Amino acid sequence: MHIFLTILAFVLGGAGGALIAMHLGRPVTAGKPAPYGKRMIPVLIPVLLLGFVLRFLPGLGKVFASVLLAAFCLVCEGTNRGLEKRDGKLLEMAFVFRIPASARMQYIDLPACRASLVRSAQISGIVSALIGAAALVLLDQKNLLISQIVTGVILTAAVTIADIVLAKSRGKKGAAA
Amino acid sequence: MTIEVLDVCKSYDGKSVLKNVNMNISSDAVIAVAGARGSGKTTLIRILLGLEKPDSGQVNLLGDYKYAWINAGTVFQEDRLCPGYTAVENVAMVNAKLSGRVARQSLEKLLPPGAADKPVEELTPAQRRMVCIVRACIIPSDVRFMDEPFFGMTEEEKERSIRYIRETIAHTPLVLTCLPEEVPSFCRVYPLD
Repeated sequence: MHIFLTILAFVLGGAGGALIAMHLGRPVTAGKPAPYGKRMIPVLIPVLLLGFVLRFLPGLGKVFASVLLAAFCLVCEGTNRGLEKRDGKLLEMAFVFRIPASARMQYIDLPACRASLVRSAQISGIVSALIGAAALVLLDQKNLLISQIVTGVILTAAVTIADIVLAKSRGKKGAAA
Repeated sequence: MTIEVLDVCKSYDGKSVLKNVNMNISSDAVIAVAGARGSGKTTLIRILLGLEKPDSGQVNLLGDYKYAWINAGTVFQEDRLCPGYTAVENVAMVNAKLSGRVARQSLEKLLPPGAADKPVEELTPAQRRMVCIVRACIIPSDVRFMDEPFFGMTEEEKERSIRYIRETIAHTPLVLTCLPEEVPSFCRVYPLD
């Protein structure tokens, strides 16, 4: 059960972190996004919540919530850092044309932040193992520690493999064009 | 809709770029803002697009207009195309309702066969300008702003692009910028010193 909860929390937290970072990083005023510091607020809130979650949540909810918050923070921060590398002129273009959010994410945001997004997701996998293990220790379920750590390592490996596969498919598409 | 430019002034670091610019862009206007390099053509377009604020003066939208901003198909001074994506993808991305097939059909009116499906960095500079022109013309807009759209084109390519622009956006106002010696014959000239 804790393996399923860890994977679910990792996916939800990571996807939520990336989407919120991209939403907050949209061009709002004259083609410019909100300042970096302001966009980091969603990262800070879960960090503050983490201690509360580890201390007070009952049962395996502790594992789920701590992995969710950790993945959210790390991926949101990584995505925000990557979004800083976007070409400001492309953002102005997106603003002037009122490009749909999905197209902006696909063509401008993701190419700019892919590397740091993948790196932060890989780190999230390892952190999921550690923080999940800490939660299990607090729950006095030390017999589940090994499987928790293996799950984190598998998540990291899965992110790496998915990145390689996506890069190859993009390369093939480009070659075909 | 009419765009009214009233006494617009803009300066950077104490150097005046635009001084008391007045202009009316009505629904049938086809205006060439002609000036030398550094005369403020791009700054004027950026102010019209709301990307810069004038130091003084106003840009007003007159008449029955549904947006708070100017809904403009734009060719920027630089290409501003997304690298790694094809010409078709770069054009189709600007509107969710626009299919790749429609984008390709429009691009094929200007580009040589096969070029529409190449990544934009493999196109010549003139072909990239053509992609920008198609991107600006293909979406429904209330006005078109084109900042030196024919830069780097041969006479034949320029003629072809002008023909495409005139056929595609016959009934929308157009403001383009160019050097004084390159004003297209179908435009009313607005000289910028």
